Amino acid sequence: MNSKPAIFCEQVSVEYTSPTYASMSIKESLIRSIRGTKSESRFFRALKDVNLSIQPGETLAFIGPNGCGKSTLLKVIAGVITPQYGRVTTEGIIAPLIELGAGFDQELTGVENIWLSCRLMGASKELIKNRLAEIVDFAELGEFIHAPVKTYSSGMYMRLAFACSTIISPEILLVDEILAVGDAKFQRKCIERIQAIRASGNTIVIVSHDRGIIEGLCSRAIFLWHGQMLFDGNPRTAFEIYDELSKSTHLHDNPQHVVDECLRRDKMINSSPKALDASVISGLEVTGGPVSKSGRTAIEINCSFDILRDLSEPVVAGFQIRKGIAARAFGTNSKVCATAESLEALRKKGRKSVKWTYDAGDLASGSYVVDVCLSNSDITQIYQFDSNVLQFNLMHAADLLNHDGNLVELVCKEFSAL
Amino acid sequence: MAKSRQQAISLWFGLVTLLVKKELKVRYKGSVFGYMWSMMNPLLYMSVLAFVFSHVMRFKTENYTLFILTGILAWNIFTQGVVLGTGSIVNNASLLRKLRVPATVFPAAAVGSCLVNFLLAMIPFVIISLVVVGSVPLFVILMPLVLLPYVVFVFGIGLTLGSLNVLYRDIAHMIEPLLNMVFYATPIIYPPETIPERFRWLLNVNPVATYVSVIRTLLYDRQLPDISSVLMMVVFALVSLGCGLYVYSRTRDKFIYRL
Repeated sequence: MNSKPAIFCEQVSVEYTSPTYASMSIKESLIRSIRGTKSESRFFRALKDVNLSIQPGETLAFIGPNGCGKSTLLKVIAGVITPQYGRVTTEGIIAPLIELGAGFDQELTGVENIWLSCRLMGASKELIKNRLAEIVDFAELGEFIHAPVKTYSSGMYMRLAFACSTIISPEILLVDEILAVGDAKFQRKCIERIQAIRASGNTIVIVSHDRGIIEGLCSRAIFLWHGQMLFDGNPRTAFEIYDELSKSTHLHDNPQHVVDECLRRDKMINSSPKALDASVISGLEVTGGPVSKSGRTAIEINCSFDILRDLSEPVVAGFQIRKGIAARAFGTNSKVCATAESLEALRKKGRKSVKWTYDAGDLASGSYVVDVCLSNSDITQIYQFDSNVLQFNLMHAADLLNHDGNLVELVCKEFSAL
Repeated sequence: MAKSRQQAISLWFGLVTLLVKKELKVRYKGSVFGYMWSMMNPLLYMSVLAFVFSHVMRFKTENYTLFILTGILAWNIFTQGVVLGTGSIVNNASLLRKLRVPATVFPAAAVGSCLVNFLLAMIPFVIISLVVVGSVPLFVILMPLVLLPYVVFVFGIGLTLGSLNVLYRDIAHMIEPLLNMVFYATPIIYPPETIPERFRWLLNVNPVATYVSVIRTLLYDRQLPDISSVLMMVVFALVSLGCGLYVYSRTRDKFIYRL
């Protein structure tokens, strides 16, 4: 077992200079040096302190919104970009599929391009000779293999390019976004090929926005946000964080808090061990929302569920009100606020109903969601956790009159831009 | 370690050969005469110059056509190699952005394709030699020994200018007038003896003149070059290569950000 990582990045940072300065003429650079102005005055941080270790045989994905640095990181690994700071080491032959058909020349025929592209990627002559038939076969080109690629349909072109890149038996395959192109049949073929490469113990890094492909192929996902690695772990959680962050309209939300919150929730759901028999609880129902009580607005949450048999310790029912993922407004549970008798009742078999009334005066106008959680008495293990069971809009009468609702939103946006 | 170095070198040469082949294939795709053009171009140029200088300007050089042809063939390696080499890295930006390829292969391939052109053009040279003089110069077999340092020299310059051209695109515009100057500063269309005494020193500081004169000594004068010229050839080649590698190593990490 080789314990040396296939890909290792240490404190990798990449800065792009702003395009206006990308290629200076000698004149400009002379003027600049005479005036003493720095030429690298404007730059864009594409990657910030990325630390990453990928073991041989791992299949992982880089996800994140456009411009978050996925492709840059992939290019750094491919050795195309030398990072300004940090170090990258890789073990084995790398096949970078940063764009399909790297090195293809439009004028050359299919066969000639196979040679060109594969040789450029570092394949030996023998390997190409042996696999030539296989490439032609995969690309389904038949006679056309001897025609210039400029006459190819885009589908033919893609098939040929994909076949070239994957046939050279790479130890590390880097795939950038290319699975999104092509018809369903081609995609299926590509995925089968990637699976075959994975099955033979090679390392694969995929950049994609396709959740299905990533969750199907990868055991690990890296979530990048503005050039920083925010999360490294299972793809499902990574996508959850991605979703929450892209939903978030609150620019001032610290992305790290969103990650922490997602992880916390994930841990709560996943950590419920077998010891706690989740089947004791059934039929959880949650209703409620804002109600008007003697001139004041309150939030009422009714939570009812069945306990199917007597338990040794009471079930703790808790809820939280939140606005967005990271902003928890309020939360409490039956252990904190219930009387001893009612707690005892939560140990017994039967239909239980827990009702909270929360004075909404503390909450600002806006829309909120409610999560409900049923756990054991010391709240270390969970019977059931339902997020977003309830959504409500709160509008204080005063806000309505003053048009404060809009004002609050506005002020928030102004503030966050500072 | 030694083995992997050897592998890297053989891979490098493999890539250069591949790119040269590609370059030649693409260049003559769709043309009827194909490779014939590599032979015909210098001949056509030669005819024009031969006509102008032997009938209009009245140079009194023996076998002026052959004199001109050897000069042009030798010059072409330099001028084509430098022009192609300067643009080579920028022109292959799409490759460098996608694959880990040492950028040095592109200027090398540029020189390589010029070398192939030269070798192809040797065919009409042999024919013309037979027609004009009646025999082929024996020293043609020594050409590889001259071409090796020459090609290294051109590669060094191509690598230097090619690397700088990534950072400053002015280079590509600058070389045309510069090459023109070097062309007239080098005894290609005129014999070196016609240069006035006080300008002779120019020949000594002009590396291209050394290569052209050695090639011409072998192919036109049919003599062996003197040892000092041979040494100069090697020194120029090494200095140029060193300069190219130095500039390349200093600029290579910036390429991707400037391409």
